Amino acid sequence: MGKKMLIPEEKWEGLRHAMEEAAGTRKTSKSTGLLPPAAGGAAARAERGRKRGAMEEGQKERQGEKEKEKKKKKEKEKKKGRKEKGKKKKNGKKKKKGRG
Amino acid sequence: MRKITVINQKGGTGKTTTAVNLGAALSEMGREVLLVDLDPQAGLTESLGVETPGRPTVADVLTREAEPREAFHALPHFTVLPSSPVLAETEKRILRERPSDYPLALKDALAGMRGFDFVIVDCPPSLGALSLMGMVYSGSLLIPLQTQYMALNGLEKILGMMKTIREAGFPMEILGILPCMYDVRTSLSRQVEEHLRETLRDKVFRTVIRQSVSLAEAPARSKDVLSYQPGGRGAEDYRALAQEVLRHG
Repeated sequence: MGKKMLIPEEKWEGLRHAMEEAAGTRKTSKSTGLLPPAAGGAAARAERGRKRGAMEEGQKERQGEKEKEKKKKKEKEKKKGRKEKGKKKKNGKKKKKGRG
Repeated sequence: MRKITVINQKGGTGKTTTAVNLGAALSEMGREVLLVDLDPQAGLTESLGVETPGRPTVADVLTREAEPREAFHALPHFTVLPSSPVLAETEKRILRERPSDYPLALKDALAGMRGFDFVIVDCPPSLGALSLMGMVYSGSLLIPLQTQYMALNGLEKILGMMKTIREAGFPMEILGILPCMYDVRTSLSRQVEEHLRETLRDKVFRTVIRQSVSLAEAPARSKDVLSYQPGGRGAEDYRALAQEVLRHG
């Protein structure tokens, strides 16, 4: 009769992976959310800060362009809306005339 | 100077017992040892009978309001940098004052310290800011582990934390995982130890700390186990651990 396993094999496999990741011998996605809010170490914070900065510099122009495009679209939609509303009124009047 | 951080976020795994008795064993082998109590519960400080009221503690050292030497408490076998419950408030203060680099607080506070062969840091049972400071200070972890199922979950979390810290740019290694409170009579203890060695290989110390009444009794006499019962198995196990640590270099 085989030896009774008191701890499932998956548990040991998980530990093996965790150890390899901790030792840096297994490449995985970057860990997130494990450290307390302000943690992550100075380097991690600096990295995060850099990323934020990079986004601002690189995307400012793009964001400006996008906003301009959005404004233009909105204005066009407004104009179209007004025209359509006007047409409806006219149609409504015509219909009223027809009915009368 | 060799720095070792004793850590496990689970309580009652043998962190303080290991810090004190490894320190005592290294001292017995002629090494100068400093024990740093980084736990606001001050278990290490109390277990050695160190009185702190009116005296600077590790909290004052962390905030740079006292020099390390001013807070040192010399005992026959080693020196203690004691803690007190004030440390809990100090932790919050450091987080407020140094939000971007607080993990370096202990490293900065003890920078330039000389005169010790070993500095052993006893961490609180959590993976909070203080533990992080302890881990970053030494970069070398000793993880006491009960030979039980729940302890394995805790170990996975520490390894995850270690990965995160390493990714943040701080060097980090496992000095060793120390099977503690080992009960030779139970098959669970035997199986956990066997599988730990199979899975984590050389990361597990050859030494096993067996369950021993003397280890529990010594703090009640404000003593380390080597002074309390020099011929007991607790003392024997920690001497073996100290030899292993010395071999590790």
